[in-house]
Amino acid sequence: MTVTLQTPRLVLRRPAPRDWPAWNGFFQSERSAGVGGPRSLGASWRGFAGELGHWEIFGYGMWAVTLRGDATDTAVGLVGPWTPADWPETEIGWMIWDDKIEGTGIATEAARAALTHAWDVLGWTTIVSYIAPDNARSIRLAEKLGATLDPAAPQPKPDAPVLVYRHPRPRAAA
Amino acid sequence: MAKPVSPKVLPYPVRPTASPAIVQRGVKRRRAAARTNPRAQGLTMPPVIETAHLVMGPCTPADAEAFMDFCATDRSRFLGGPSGRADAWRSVAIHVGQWQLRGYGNWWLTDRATGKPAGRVGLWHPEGLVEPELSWVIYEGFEGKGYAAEAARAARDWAYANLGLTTLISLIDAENTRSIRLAQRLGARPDGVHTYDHGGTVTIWRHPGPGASE
Repeated sequence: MTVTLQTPRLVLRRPAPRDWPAWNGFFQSERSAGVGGPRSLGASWRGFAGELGHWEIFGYGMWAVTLRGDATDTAVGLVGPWTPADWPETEIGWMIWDDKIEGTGIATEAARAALTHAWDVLGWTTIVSYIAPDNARSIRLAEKLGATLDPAAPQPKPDAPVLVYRHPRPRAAA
Repeated sequence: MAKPVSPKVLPYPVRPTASPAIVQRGVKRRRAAARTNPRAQGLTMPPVIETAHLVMGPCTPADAEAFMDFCATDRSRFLGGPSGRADAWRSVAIHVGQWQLRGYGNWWLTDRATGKPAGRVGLWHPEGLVEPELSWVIYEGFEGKGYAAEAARAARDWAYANLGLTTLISLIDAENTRSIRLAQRLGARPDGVHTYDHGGTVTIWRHPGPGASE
């Protein structure tokens, strides 16, 4: 089953092949430096195929973030669960593709919806976000969401350490 | 040589709300479109194909684990291995996701006798490769049974019957003698070389088209 999330300004939906141009535009640009880019065309395609495969394998994955009322249904980024077999913990990740949504709070709105879904629907008991040490924008978002640095947390790629931000469990979690 | 096994292709699940007539028209339209654009076939995961010794189908958690085990061994050297779980899992996810992007991809093989994962065979078509590649991986313990040939023929027949393709290639390292022997058994012939963008050169083996005798 594929879950779509709605927030006041956004629709978070399962990514589809039509999101390839937006994905590839991001991964061929310097904006993707914080998430391992820029990538070659081949590496960009493999990454996109992997995102689609993640959904097929788990039934969940990172959502394509779209603006309500946008008739073109263009994704401005991906936000949501990312749990490859080698990850030590369950992650909520984000990548914002479109410069124009900078400073609008849209990434925060999407991430809050994703976190709520992970706690309440997926039933996760812990949530981290892995962030490159020099990705200042991403660090700001993690802090805005109330996450705190956990230096003792296991690393996803021990050869290339990242910052592990741990999200607080909502108090009202039943 | 044994007569090629004729695989039984199970129908892809059809949405129950559609009437048979609509489904039939839809299938015809999709098949017509598929001749020019394989993606129009609309499959997002492999249809189940049964052969004499194998069930070929979508990736299960057991398939993913078996593939990661395979990647950890030297047997994966012609796939760029050995590699750890990080790279091996991403490879699984990419192959699974390719079905959504292309409408075709790899099948995960289950040995009918034991119920165990036996390998992965099908169509690999990443960005950068100009045509789909018929590739095969057989796990330890399932070699020497003709499984790779059985699955490769079934995948090739499916591609010719459903995608409108008239040929396929297999890219094989010159030192991979087992795979070369299989390509020859399948009637493929050398047809130039392919150089990967990350370096490394392999032989292009071109398969005979639909209906050609091997």
